[in-house]
Amino acid sequence: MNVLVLPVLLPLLGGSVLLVVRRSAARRGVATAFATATLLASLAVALPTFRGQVLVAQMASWAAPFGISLVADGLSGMLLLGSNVLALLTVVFAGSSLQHAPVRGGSALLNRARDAFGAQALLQFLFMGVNMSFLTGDLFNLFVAFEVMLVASYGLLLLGGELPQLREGLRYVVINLVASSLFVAAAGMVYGLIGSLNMADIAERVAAHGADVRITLLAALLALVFATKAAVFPLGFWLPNSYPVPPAAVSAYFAAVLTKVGVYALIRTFTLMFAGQGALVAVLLALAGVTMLAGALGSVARRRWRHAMAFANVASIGYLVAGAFAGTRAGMAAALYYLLNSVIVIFVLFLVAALAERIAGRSYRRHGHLGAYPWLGAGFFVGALALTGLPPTSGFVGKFALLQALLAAGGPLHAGVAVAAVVTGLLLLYAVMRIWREFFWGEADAVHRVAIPRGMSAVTAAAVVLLLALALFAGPIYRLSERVAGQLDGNAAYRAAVLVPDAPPREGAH
Amino acid sequence: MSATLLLPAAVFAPFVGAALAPWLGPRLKRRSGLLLWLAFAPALALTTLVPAALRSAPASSSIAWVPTLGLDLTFRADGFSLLFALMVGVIGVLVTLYAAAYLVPGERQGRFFGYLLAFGGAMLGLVLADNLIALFAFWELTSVTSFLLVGYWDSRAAARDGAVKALLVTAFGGLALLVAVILLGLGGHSATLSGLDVTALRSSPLFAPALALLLVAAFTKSAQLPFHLWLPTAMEAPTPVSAFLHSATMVKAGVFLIAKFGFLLDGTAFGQVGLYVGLATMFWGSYLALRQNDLKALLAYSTVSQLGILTAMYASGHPFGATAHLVNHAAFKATLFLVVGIIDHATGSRDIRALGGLARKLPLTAVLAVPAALSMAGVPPFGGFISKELFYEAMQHEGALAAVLAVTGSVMTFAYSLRFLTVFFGPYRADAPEVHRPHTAFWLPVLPLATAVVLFGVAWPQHTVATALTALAAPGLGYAVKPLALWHGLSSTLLLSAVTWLTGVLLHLLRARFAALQERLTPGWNANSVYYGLLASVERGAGDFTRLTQGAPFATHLRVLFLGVAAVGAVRGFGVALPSLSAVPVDMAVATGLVVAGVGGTLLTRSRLSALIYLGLAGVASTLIFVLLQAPDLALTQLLVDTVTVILFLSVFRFLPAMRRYTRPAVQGVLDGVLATAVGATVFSLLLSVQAPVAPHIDPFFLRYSKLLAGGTNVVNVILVDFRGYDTMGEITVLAIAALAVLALLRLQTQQRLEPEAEGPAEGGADPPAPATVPGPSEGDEDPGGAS
Repeated sequence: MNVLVLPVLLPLLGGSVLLVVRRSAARRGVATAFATATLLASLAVALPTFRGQVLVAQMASWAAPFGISLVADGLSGMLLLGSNVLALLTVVFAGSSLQHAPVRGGSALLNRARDAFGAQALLQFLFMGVNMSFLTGDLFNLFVAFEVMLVASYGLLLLGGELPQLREGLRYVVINLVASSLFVAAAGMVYGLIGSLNMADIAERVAAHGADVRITLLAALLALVFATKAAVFPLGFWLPNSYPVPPAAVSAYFAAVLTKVGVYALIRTFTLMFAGQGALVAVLLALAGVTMLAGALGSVARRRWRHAMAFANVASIGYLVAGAFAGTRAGMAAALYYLLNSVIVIFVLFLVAALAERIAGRSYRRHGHLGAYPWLGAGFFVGALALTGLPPTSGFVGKFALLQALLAAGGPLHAGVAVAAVVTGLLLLYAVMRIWREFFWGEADAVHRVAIPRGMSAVTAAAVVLLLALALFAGPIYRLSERVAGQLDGNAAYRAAVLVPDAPPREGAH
Repeated sequence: MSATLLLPAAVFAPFVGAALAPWLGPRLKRRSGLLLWLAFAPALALTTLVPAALRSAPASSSIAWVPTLGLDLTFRADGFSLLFALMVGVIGVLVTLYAAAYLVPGERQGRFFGYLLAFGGAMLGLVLADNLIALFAFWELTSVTSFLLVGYWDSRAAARDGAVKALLVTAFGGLALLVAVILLGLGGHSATLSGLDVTALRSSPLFAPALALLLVAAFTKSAQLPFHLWLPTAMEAPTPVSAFLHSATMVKAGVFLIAKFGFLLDGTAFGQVGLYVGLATMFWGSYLALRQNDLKALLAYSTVSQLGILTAMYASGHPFGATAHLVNHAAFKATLFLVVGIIDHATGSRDIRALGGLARKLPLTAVLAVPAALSMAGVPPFGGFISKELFYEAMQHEGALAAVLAVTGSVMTFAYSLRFLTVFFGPYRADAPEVHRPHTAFWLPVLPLATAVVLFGVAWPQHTVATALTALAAPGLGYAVKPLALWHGLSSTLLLSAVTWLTGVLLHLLRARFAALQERLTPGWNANSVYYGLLASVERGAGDFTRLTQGAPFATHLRVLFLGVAAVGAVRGFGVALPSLSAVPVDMAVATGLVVAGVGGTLLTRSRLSALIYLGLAGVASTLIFVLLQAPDLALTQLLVDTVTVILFLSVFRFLPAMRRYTRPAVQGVLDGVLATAVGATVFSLLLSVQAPVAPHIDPFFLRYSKLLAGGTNVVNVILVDFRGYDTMGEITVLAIAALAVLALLRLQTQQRLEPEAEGPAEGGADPPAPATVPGPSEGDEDPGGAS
């Protein structure tokens, strides 16, 4: 069996097994075991790709482009590894947090019921969808992967049935369903126009045909779909109110990973399938600048911690898209490094917010409750620095690289986006420092102490350590980003690995 | 130790100390400071690099961080950097020792020393960095640690506010610096300051914006107009912090930057900008200092003013005098701050009006303070006099306006220096009935600084001590050392000094009247009101913007998405060559008509039941289309799906609330109609235009190999289960997940209804349930976007 299928099959298996495990402790064990196994499988996939290899698996042994190809290049490898590390952390955190009340004064029973009614299984299915998206080399299969991911996320978003869950869940479901319908229509039209669904094959055919306005329009349609998933302004209305709604671990994973899948799809679309769409790339770059500002303004406007962080996530999407669509290799490298930073930092900030809610409640205006929790403060501070791009964190390295790439590219649009990035940094700084001032400073509440479950604090600490490691090993990791950015420039290796000339129609057939 | 090791050690040792401090704090309590000053020992050892710097062969070292980005920790100890680093090291040691006496037992010592040492490390990194980005990184680190130190007494609202203000203003400048160093690096083709290609840079279009941003950064950090507002409020920090960060070292970082990049400013208009901003700051700072009644506030504004002098001199190309003044200022101002700390501790007050005659009760403190204050006033034989003379000389050179500003500013400086000293003289006054004598550990660390104040004016074999120190920076900044003497003959400069003293004394005597005049002149607004106004409008703007975009009703969000689709079609004006309608078979036209009728009916009907029927019609009609296209499998599937949908709908029918029509304004209705039509036109035109593929489809392969290699005669089925079986696996999973989610939702709801006691108190603590935080309908209160 090809190792490429494992990151998809293991969570599928795990989710199915979890459905029949009845004891909560056993569920935690099984979920952790599967998440660990998936992480190991991802590592096995990712490591060769980091050395420049492109791994390919042809499903059902049909030669590309006739069957479905699973492909892992450096980009897939990075995202796969990053998201599965977070998946494991999410599972452990959820295992712990689902035993306890979600907020100070809240009820633990609701969370236990969530656990009993498949929260862990849904998480596994979510991981399956995410991994499937990163590994597929087929446009329609990407649609299927999105469906798996989204249905699982609908389930997780609604599980518990609290009023805000239902209200925000509806918006989330409808917007995403509309986007999905557009996706499937666009995929159909791509097949109609280009005659293939295999991404590498589409790339070959598009390159051979040359410029055609019809191709541009289809690329625009796909961009619309993926930009909606990625919450690029003005298509991201659905995100900031819905992500803070589910339980802590779930909302952390959503924010950290799900939107990045949309960005991933955008990158694939415009570097592989429809390379050379200069005008669309410029539009996306401009929107990225607006997205940053919109996210930063939102996080200043929102008075509740997790809501403010959800907007901060939107801002980081803006940074990412700006780098990826700066049109230079340096920009892409910056975006890839920033991607890793953004995934982890958003995760950290959501986890810290979740712990803070357990201690201080959801209200923003309770001063100084957290002064007595210096380690929580330290975690938040590191996360805040990384979010705002202040040294010595990985966020600083990423933001610096991004600004340098934008300014080096020259031109008024790039310079404008660079200015937006700078202003965004300042606004985000204001937002996080306000949280710091309101929550961690002031008279410490000495009477009231809440024990933080060990699993939750351990996961948070691990995520902070990851963030620090990203800064400490910025040299090699950045080199990797540059290598991957090089791969994406032209995608020659990717195409050659998928489309083998003169391959037999079906491997092993006679 | 070799330079390659010593330089990073000097920078990182304080960080190591900072990491240890939280651990040592609770164990050693107040004694932690007596141990932790050792973290600055490597910085003091930098003295060994002085000879190399004097030979213009500065030691350097580099640690790779992100080499491919040009981001490395490259340090270079040229004379000027070394002078600064030694200053940081020496004052760092003294302040750490002083703080050990200053902090009250029971305070969070570990945290304080952790922050303080981290700041020290960042400051050393800033002055020693040669890599431009590393310089920026350390620069921002000093802002961040300053934020933590100013907010150290976080139970005070003013401290929190001052910390945020300081951070926002300096971080704003920091971002300007980031862009500036990137532009410099791009224009000068180098990541290091020493490697910049000056000729290329000067002719680059990036040069002017880079310099402008550089100056903005320097002005914010060194509290120049109009960014001076953060410095006085940062005085909420514990006094050792004020002495170290906000007078002696961090605030000089901006000046340091101007000095370091002075070779670029030469001969540009930016030099003149720096000159006049500096002079204006000098004037305004000393004017405001005269108005203060709090000793610390007086020193804060005085620092603003003195930083103005340094900015003006470095920017206008007088690095020699500037460096002399830099050294002098660090010594006398740090002394004065620490003296204020002692006074505060001893009397419990810092109010000038409430204090007097302290020399009798605190003779030692007075002995430390008097030379420092006189040096600040520019009175011989102290160092401040010499550098004030140099300042006058330079400003005379710059023109009449500069000279007038310099003299008037200095007159006020003289007056407030005298005012500072009034707390020591005259009849004894203090709120506290009893003054406690300061502990030896309190004044001992101040002694070396006060000694330096005196020594700087004293002649060494050839020059004064200040000259000798200034000479160290000479090779780095490229200036010639002139001997600094107290007496250099009768000159216009000396005349100006005499005028300054006389007018200053006069101003001091008339201070009550002058204060009344100042009171009358005070405008209704100032930099602070602008700052708070700006913050409020940012918050308001952010709120408005977010409400506008997030608070919009759900339908608007969909409209935006559809507008995007319509825009795609509009690119080509929805244009496409329509095929001849006669090619459409009649039965197909009928089936299509039925679909349209079904959809239209669903939209228009007023009852849910008929909507369901219309929906069924559309479904059956699409089935018909599949039949006509000879796709029986698809037709069957579609029929099944439709039937099941209708049945499901009917089965839950009686549980649904009455159907409600959402009304919209007529204009909105028309617009939505147009939008819907445009979306339809887009899809239609795209569908037609893909009828002419750019390359042959891959489907002949399926027909060819379906039977041969997959063993199935129904190609559609083979595609589903073999060619694209992986897709099918995914889709089946989707259905399973959906079923699981629905089941969980229903069961969970039922269970909750059955167990109303579920809303009990939380476990894991004796905390009472807080009604405000119980999740529930109150959820949307603060988030207007949520309610829609």
